[in-house]
Amino acid sequence: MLISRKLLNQWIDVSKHSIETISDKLSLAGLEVEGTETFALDARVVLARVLHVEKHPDAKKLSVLQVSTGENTEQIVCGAANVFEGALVALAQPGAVLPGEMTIAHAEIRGVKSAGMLASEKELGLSENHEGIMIVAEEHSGRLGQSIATLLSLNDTILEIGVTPDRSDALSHFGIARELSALLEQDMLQDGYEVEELAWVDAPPSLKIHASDLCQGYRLVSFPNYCSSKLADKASCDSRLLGRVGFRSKASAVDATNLCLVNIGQPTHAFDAAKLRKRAGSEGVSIEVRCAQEGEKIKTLDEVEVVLSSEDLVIADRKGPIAIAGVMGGLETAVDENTTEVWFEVAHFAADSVRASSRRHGIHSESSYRYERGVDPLLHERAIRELAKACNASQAHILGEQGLIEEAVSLNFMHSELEALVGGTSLDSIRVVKRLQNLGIKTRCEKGEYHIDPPTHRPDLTRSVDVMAEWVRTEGFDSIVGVKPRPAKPPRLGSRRTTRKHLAKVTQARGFREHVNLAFMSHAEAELVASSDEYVCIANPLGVETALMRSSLQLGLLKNAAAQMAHSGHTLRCYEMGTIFTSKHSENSPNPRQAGSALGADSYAKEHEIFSALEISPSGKDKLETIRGALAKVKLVVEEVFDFETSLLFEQNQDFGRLWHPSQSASLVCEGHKLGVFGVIHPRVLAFYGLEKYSAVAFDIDVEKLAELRSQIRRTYKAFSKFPGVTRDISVGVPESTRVSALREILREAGQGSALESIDVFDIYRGDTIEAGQKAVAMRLTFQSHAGTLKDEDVDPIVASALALLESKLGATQR
Amino acid sequence: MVLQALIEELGAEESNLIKTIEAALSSEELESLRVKAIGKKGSLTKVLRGMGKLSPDDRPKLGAAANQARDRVNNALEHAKKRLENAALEAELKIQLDLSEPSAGLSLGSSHPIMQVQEEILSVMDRLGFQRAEGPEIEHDFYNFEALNFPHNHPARDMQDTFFVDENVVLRTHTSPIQIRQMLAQGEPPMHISGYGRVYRHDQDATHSPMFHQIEGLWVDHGVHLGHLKGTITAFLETLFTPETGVRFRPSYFPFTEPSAEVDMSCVMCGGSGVAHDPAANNEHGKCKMCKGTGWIEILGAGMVDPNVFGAVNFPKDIRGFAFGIGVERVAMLKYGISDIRMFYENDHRFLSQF
Ligand SMILES: [Zn+2]
Repeated sequence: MLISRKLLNQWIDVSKHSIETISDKLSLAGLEVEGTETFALDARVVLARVLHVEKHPDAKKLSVLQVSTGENTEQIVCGAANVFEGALVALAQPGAVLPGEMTIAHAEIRGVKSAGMLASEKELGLSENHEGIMIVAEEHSGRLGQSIATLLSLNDTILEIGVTPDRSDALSHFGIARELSALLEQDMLQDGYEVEELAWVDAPPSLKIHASDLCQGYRLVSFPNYCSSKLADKASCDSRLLGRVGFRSKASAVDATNLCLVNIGQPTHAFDAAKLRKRAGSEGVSIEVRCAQEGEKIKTLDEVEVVLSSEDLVIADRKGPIAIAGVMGGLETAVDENTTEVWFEVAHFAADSVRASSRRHGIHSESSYRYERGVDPLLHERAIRELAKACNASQAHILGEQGLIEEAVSLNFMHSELEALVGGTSLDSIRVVKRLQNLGIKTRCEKGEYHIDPPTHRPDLTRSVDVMAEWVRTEGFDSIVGVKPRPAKPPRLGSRRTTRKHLAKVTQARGFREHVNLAFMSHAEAELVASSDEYVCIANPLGVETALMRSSLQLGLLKNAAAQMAHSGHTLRCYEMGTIFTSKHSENSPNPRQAGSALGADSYAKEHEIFSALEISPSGKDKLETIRGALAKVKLVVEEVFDFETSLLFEQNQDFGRLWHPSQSASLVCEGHKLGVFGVIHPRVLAFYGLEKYSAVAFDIDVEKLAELRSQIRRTYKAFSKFPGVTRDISVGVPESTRVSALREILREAGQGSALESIDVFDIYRGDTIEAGQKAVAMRLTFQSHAGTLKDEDVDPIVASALALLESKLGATQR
Repeated sequence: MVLQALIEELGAEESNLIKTIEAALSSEELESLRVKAIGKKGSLTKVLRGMGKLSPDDRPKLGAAANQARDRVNNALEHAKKRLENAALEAELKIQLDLSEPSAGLSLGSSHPIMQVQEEILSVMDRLGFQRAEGPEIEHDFYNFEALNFPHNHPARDMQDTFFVDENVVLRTHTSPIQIRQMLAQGEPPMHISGYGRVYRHDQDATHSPMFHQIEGLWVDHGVHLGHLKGTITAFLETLFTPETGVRFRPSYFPFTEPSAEVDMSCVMCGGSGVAHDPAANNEHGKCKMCKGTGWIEILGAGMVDPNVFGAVNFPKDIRGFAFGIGVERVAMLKYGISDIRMFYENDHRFLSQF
């Protein structure tokens, strides 16, 4: 919210405080000053009178003027059409710096000298008005040569204050002044403006409130002899002020309502009385505050047709709604430049009702903003004075009534409670009472107990803790002594956390870098993962790219890879740990209030923590060879992840979803549990990301399942043999379709009960010296005994029978 | 005189051998000389074959002379071996290798900077006695708002732009629902929780991302007061940044705490003076860009847990607690001088490799 120091000075005299002091006071009391802007017009812009106007000899649109600053007469070249002899103008003299860093200098325009320029309001930073030069009102004629800034008191400082949603009382200059009065311990200024109330004589409208629970008071105010064309000077002064606190100046009656709003925080509305009479015809104007009928329509001031619901509160005449209560007025009865008679609405509407209507129709106005936060219901008299002031009126016709104001509930708390909250330091109860009373909170203290009556302008003070917080807020946290609480139990290390650390360690050691992606995906990306519709859709996404919650982490990694490959064609290794989501819409959401289900993570969607890693590299000339190499390297990482378990199985030819290559991927199966997928990313997926020329090998691991498995590991020491082992290298030729795991199984079978300790495949050869469609697999068999050194005759028969078994079962030929 | 002749022959052979040994240039040559000299068929052994011609009295004399000669030759061999070894070592030590040639093999990967900072913050909280906790990212309105004292249809809800899944289910806008779940699960105080994870806001620009990371501390126990809040947060920031870090509490408003405060810390760029040492870090008015010359930067939100929150989880009426929340990205941006939050999610390795 924008606060003008000049407007503030109407309510409290802060002239002796620097803007820094005011900012600090407010910021440290929870009204954060987010910025300040100072308007100071250069003093070399002075009041001058145009004495003589003649055409420029060499330019049709220019005039050559003689202007007087009282002492001197200067020659000025001017292009404005509205200049006339006798006009009072703002002369920017040479040396003056105008807003926007424009420096004025002596100039020669088409051969005619000009000692400065006549400025428009826009050039002086006063308004957006750039149609001609600024004409100053004749009342200032006696002060030629004086600085315009002083003359029109133009200089001001604007504070931008971030008001939190609980502080509706601070949404006006009056409210900020009240706050400063408490913080600076300085009285506010008395408002001496008086308005005489007159009877409404000719043809008063009838007025009826039908929904008194939603409208606690409604008045129509009309100022006799009010003419919409106010004094020009006051009008431009008002519109300038409004401009600086963020309001566009409109019809003068609207300016009056806006001035009332920024000054005291009471929203009001201006109806064109003639338009209301015309709608009413001969029956006379009848105004009702009532709930709308379902389907009733109104065209609002911003020219949008709104279809109302029966829960909307409206102001209506015989023909239908003329305003949505507290939200926005209707277009048909709005004031405009031809309005001659205005009826101002001064009312109080219930916060919930205004907020609901404002949200239902997506209309957010300055009025609804204040109502939904809570407007002081006792502001009507003051509002009428503010409107009168803005309209230069001293008399008013007033119709209607203030409704019943709910009495605030009295609060009480013990002095010892306050002391316990701030940390046991002893407080002076007299000071507490005085401070709260300075804030306008009626307080007394009896026998160590405070009795509090919160004021109507503080709807946020509903509990004793709120009042205690007021003490802390205004006293400041500096008064509180910091201590550390006594230490709690040392934190535990969960299996999930050690598993995450393990995954990070293993992959980082192999050069994988961690990525963090936004957890969204597009519908097109969702299609890449699976064809089902079990996605979590966001009802109000930022865009199509982020319409769904991600169902795979690989999508993010591939997208990153595509961006990366644009500037580096090298191999990229990356991983991400995070949540994937699937919807649970077939089931009912569990009742959140059941304490037992509080930690059930999958309550409203299925959330799985996944670890995904990806290696991507250019396919090169021999794509298959590239993939084989990459698979071997990445498989090593997978095996290191499962370092605790030798029975890790790679089960192929299953349904992995659309992301994976159907013939080059495998499920990771451990102890009968499916823990993830390892393999090649589907070429169609790579093509989607523009990565046709690349090959990608990846794996996904379910972190939760892995953590569970790891938590069951009990590592125990196994003695190793003191005797040297014996090794035998064998090489066999088999068809390409024969899986290495089959060879291993047969060797294990042949070596069962023997000293065969391990089988290591150390080379797989495909090439010129072997038949096409065949591969040569070289393996090293290691035999080891705990009983003694093995001899050739212990080992050779086993190797021979193993080779025979390989030949008979798989047709393997020894090489 | 046969003895004399044989001894002379031995002497000649010995000096001949020693001369050759001293001239030897390689260990292989030395080895063959050793065989040639004192092996079974060696030249010194050959001289002993003349032993038969000697009288039994002379025989030991020739034997002794032969042994002496053999010792001297052995000595010479030892010397030569050392000499060659020394020469070889010296030669090896003279070989210059260019260590500016590039390294080979895979370089180490890395943790994402956000995750590094998250871990750093959590480990500081570990030491202060908080227990780590997580929770679902898709949440029911009850956990994300209602139990945290954001009533339905209340303007406080506008403070957090929310992604909705449906009317009652949202992407969590903060890590506070973890508090609620933990309190409901445990059912009674005390609670010492550091909740952390991804959170979501309907917002996107250079300093706001629709997804970011948050960490929240919750400390609930009998007798907890504002002094504990202040002491804990001060210790937390001093450990996370530097022991000289200044800390300032400004009153503010959050629905789930009362009283509430925004916490500022002294600017990391100018040390709180408002003017940075490095002129490039100052704006055109000579004021520090990071803190706009105020010397303070906003770092976290905090407060005493609102009684309504305890009401929602059925905790005792007289219980008190404090809570604070910090944005991981915000800390990382301050620590590393990053001005655009989007850098974190682009995952460019030219960026990631710097952390
Ligand atoms: Zn700074």
